[in-house]
Amino acid sequence: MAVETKTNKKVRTSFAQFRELNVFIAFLLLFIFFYSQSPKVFLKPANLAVIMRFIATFGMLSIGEVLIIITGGIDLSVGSLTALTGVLVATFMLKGLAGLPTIGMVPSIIIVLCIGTLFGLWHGFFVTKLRIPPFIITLGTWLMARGLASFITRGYPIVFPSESPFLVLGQGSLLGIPISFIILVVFASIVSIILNRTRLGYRIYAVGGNAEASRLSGVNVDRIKLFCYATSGFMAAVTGILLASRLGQGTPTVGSAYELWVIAGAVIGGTSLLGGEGTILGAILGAAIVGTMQNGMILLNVSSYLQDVILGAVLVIAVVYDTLRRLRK
Amino acid sequence: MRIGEVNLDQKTTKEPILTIKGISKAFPGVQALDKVEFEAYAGEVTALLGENGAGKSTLMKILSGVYKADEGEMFLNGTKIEPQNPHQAQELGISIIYQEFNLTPNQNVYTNIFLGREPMARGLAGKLGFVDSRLMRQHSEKLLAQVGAHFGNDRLVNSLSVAEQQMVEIAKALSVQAKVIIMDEPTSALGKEEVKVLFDIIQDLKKQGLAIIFITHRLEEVFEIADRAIVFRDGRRAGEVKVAEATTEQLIGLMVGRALDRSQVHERVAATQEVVLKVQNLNRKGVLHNISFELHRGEILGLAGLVGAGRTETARALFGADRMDSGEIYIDGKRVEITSPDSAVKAGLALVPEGRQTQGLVMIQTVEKNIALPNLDALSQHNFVNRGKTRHLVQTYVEKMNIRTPSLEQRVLNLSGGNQQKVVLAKWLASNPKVLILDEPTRGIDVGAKAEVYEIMNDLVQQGIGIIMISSEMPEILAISDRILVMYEGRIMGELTRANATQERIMTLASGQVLEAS
Repeated sequence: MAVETKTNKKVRTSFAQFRELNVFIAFLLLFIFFYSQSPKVFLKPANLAVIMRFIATFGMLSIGEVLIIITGGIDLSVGSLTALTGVLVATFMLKGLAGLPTIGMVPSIIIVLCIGTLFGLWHGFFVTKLRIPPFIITLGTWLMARGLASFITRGYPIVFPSESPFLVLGQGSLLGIPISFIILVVFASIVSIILNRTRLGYRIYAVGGNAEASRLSGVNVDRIKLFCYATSGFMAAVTGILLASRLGQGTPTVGSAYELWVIAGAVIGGTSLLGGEGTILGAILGAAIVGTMQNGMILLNVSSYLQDVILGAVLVIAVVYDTLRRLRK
Repeated sequence: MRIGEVNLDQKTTKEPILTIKGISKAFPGVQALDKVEFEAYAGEVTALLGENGAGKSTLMKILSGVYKADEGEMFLNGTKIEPQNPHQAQELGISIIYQEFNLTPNQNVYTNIFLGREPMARGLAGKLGFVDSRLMRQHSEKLLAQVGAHFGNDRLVNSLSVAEQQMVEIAKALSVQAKVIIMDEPTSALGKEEVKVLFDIIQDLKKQGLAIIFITHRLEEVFEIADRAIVFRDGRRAGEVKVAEATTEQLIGLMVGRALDRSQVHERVAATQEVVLKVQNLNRKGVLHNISFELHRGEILGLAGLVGAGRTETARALFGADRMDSGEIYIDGKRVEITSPDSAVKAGLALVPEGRQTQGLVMIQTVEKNIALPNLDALSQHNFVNRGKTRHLVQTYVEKMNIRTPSLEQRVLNLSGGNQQKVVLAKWLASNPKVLILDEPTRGIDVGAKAEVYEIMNDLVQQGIGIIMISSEMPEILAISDRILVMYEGRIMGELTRANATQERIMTLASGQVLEAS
C-alpha cells in the first residue's frame, strides 16, 4: 500500500510538471522560431529587454487574474485599472489631484497601490455580499476606470520629465534584467508560495473547486474571494505604475484590451475557466507566449491587423488542445 | 435454462426483449465490465443490484449509448443494436432516467418532455423552425395522465417537487415510445409516500408491456417491485434470482460475496446520560418551529421524517449553514453562538451533508486535499501547511477507514460512491468533533460500504462522540439509533426510544398524527 502510494505520487507530480512543461516548450519553440526568422535582432539584449517588459506587464496582471479565475470568477477591469492607476500616479506626482499640492514619489505609489486594492475590494464586496456576477461588476469598472482616467487628464497624457527618478522603475535594469521583470518574479514567487504552501492557498483552490463544500467545511468563502479580488486590484495598480514609468507618462489610453490578453494567457497556461485549477507559473508562461508573439510579429513586420488574427487563432488552438486533453483523461 | 425458469411466469413473454451478450469495458486501470450477460423481459421489472463500482452504471451507459463497449453484442427484439449516442438509443426505444434529472429547470413541463424532439409545425412554418406547441401540449397531457401526474403542462419544472420532476422524466421517457426504461436509483430522493406513487406508475408501465430495469441499493424495494434481480460484482455477473423465491441474505451474499453479519449493527455500549449538545427553541421562519432536544455523549440520535419534514434544515441551521432566526445552542453546557459553519466547526460540530458530491467534497481535488480542508488550522504553522503532517493524518484516516484509493493524490471524482462518503467522514473525524451530524450517510452507497459506515459510527460513539443521524431508510434508523426524534412540517412530533420504536409508530408521527397513549 505504502509503496503503491509512493510510485503513484511520482507519476502525479511529474505529470503536473509536465503540464506547465507543455506551455514552456511551446514558448521555447516560439522563441526559436522568431530567432530563426530574424536572427540579428531578436536575441539582442535590447530586444530581450523589450520582451521581458512585455512579459512583466502581462505577467503581473495574470497573477491577480489567475487567482480570481481559480475561484471561478473573472476580472475584466485590469486593463482599465492599469490606465487609471498610471494616470493617478502621474497626477499625484506632477499635477496634484483636484487642486491639491503634488506629493512625492513614494507616497504617490503607496496611495495608488491602495486605490488599486480598494477597487479590488469593491469588486469583491459586490461579488460576495451582493452576489453580483463578477463579469458584470468588473465590466462596470472596465468602463468607469477608463472614463475616470480620461476625465482626470482631459484625454491628454501627463508626461514625466526625462530626469525623473520615477522612470527607473519601468526603464531601468539590474545586471541587464529589467527592474519590472524582477518585480514580476518577486510577486509571482510570493503568490505561488501562497497558493501552494499556505492554508490560504489550499482554501483558494477548494473554493474554486466547490464553494458550497468549502463553506460547509468551515471555510470563510467570502473572505477568500475578497483576498483574490483585492490582489488583482493591487497587481493592476503595480502594473499601471510600472507602465507609466516605462512610457514616461500617465496615459488614459494605455492597457486597452489587456484584460483579454491576460485571460487568454491564463487559459493558454492551463487555467480552467470553470475554476479550481490553474497556476501562476502557467499563467505567466501563457502571458509570455502572448508577449513574445506580439514582439516577434512586430519584428517580422506582420501587419498589425493580422497580428490579432494570429493571436486569436493561437488562443483557440490552445483552448481546444487543452479541452481535448482533459476529455481524454 | 434461465429462460425456461422465467417462462413459468405467465405475464412474461418467452424471449427477452433485450439481450446483452459478453459485454466488456475497460477504463484506464479498471476493468469495469468483464464479459457480462444481461437480459430484460417485456412486462417485467428487472432489478440490477451490486455494490458501487460493480459495473451497473457502466452497463447502463453502454446500453443508452453514452459509452461504447470494448466487446460484446446487444440485441433488442432480436435485432442487433449499436447505439452511438443517447439520442440513437432513445430512437431504438431505450430510455434512461438518471439519478440526477436531465431537465431544464426554467422551462415548463411540455417543453421538457419534448426537448430535442419538438414536433414541428406543418408546412412552411415547420421548415422555418416553428414548433407545433399545441401538439406538444396534447401529447404531454396524455403522457402526464399515463404516469398519474396531477400537475399542469405549463408549470415550470423548478416549481415541481422532486417526485413530480421524476414524473416528468418518466413521461419524457415514454414520449419516445420506449420499450425499455432504465431507472437509476429512482427512489433515492423520494419520501415514503412518493416511492409508493412511483411504484404504482411502474406497475402500470409493466402492464403496458414495457421492460423496466431498476437499479437500486434498497433491497426491500427489490422485493416490493422487481420480478427478477441480476446481481453484479466487480464487473462480472454474480448471479440471478427470481425475487419471489429469494431472501435478503441471499441477495446481500451475491452482492458482497460473503454473508453480512447483521448483528454487528446492534452490539453497542449504551449511551451515557451526559448531555453534549442541547438545542433550545430553534426557529427558522416558515421552516423550523421551536426545535428543542438534547444529545448525549456516546449516543446516536436518529432524526426521522418524510422528505421535507425539516430534518436537513435542522441540521443546516444547527451547523450555521442556514441562518437561524432564534434559538440557543449549548455544547457541554456552555452556550455557543453559531453564525456560520466556521463557528460551528470551532464549537466542535461536524456535518456530513446529504449531497456528497455537491456539498461534501471538492470533486476535482485529491483525497488528501479534501480531508485536509476542514483541518487546515491544525495542520498549519504560521499559515504554512505542514505537508508531512497532512500526509500523515490523511494516511492514518485512509487506513483507519479503509478508503480504497490508489493514492492520496487520487482525485475523489475517481472513487466509488462508498469511498467518497468515507472521505467525507474522514475529513470530519480528523477534526475531532464532539457532535457529528450525518445527513443520509448511507444514501447511494453499497451494502458493504454501509456496513463499514455503521461500524465507524459504532466506534465513534464508543469514543464519546454524540451523533445525530438523518435517514430516510426506516430499517436503518431503527437499527442504529438509541433514540429517535420524528419530525413533521418543521416540528418535532415525538420522541421514541430504542425499545418502543417501530416502523408504524415512526410513520404515524411522520405523517403528523399523534401517538395514542399505550
